[in-house]
Amino acid sequence: MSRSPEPTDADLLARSLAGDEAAFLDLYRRTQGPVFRFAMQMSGSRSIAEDVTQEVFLALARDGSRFDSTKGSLQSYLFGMTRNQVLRRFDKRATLVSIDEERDGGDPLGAVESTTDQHGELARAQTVEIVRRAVQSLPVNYREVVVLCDLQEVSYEDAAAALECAVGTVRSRLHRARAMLAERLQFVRESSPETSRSATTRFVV
Amino acid sequence: MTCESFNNIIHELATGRPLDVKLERDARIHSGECVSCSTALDEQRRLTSLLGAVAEVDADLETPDRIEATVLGAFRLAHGTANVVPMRPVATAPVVAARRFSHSWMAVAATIVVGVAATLVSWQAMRSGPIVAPPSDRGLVAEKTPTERPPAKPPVAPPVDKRPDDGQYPGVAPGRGGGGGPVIPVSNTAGGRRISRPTQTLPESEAQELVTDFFSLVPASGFAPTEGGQLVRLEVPRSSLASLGVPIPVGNPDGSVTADLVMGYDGVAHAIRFVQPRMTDERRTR
Repeated sequence: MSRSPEPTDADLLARSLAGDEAAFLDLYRRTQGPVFRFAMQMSGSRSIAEDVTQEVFLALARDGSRFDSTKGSLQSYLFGMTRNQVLRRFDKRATLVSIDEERDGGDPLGAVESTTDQHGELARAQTVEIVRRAVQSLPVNYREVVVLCDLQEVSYEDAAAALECAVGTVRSRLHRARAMLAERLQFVRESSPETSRSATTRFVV
Repeated sequence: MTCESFNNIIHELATGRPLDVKLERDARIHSGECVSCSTALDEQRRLTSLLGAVAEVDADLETPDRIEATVLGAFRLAHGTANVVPMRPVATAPVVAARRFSHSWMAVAATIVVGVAATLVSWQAMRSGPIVAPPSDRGLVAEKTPTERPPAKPPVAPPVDKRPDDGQYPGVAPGRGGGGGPVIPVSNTAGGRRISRPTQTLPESEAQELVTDFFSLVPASGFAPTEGGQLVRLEVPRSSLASLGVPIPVGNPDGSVTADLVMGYDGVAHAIRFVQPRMTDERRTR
């Protein structure tokens, strides 16, 4: 006796639009985690992430019929809404940092680097926090591809649909973003015991 | 494969994303031949490991339950099913309790306000005059509201001078309260019903009343009869006067004294006077 296949996100949304509360609840519980994590990794703020997640699903409950499956998956649709909500809050808080401003403003991880030089070795939790801050310090258009493709492990195609750009743009931004991260996290790799001496070699950018 | 081609797919190689089989094989061969590209791939793999650590820590992050409740409520509203969802009874119980508490609190507050007002009237009377007439339930016999200014009348002499031997107000000084000032006429009705007729015309019975001057109960500003207000007639037990230090007329220890209390529009008792009916009035010796 075989079990019926698990419904897809699109199936649950279709049932939700017909008024099926259980389907909507199932869809929410299935997708709220990635949406919340994406918002939090983008904003670095739990309160913003909660607010954004709520707004995204309120919009889905209200205007879920706007979803067009021909343009991408429901997940990318939700990520796109999440991204827009986060950017809207960035605009309000004026916390967006342009690439030029960032280059002129120096390395935001400088203080962390000196701290780690003093201690010599980082605990895992500290490493995670440093990496998180390094991702947060990226310009937003690079940050979002790193968060989507590396932290959320979204495919390039879904990331492109969420960001409303071409797959090639995603790839090039990701390449550049990872190079920036590699530069900023170089001291972490150098302090790691398993890191070879050749690890200090610069990446091609 | 060139170094540039290798670099174009280095992210897929470092993260283990699917690649074309032939492309992946060529990249592996190139990595074995080119030290620079091999080192770069190692660095990318370490970076992937660091990012993976962040993703692993964040994997348990979820929204709080209240957001799910909010979203679900919005869904019910959007689909018109909000009214069929059973509500938890605990949601209404605190509201009912709060209303009951509010009603009882209002009753207590009203009682306190009335009590404080009565105490204030008594205290002010004690400070400004020698006689204080605390109101009593059975003593309130008549009330009238002179909304117009009292007509100009010649001053009436204090009754204590006219009837020094009636034993009614032995402690009242004749000239107190601005002696000789205008007198607000009052009704002699004792039936407890309200009287709303104008004050300009005086019935025969009222004209025959003897009254004292008004004793101000508001020392700071004094009392001007032209200010207007409500005149409340009281029957004050003599025992109450005794408790306030006012001498009781000999021979009438259980009787009562009639008094008129002027209540201003501000709700404050401004003045009091004492009324002595003619000897023909049977209530006088009650």
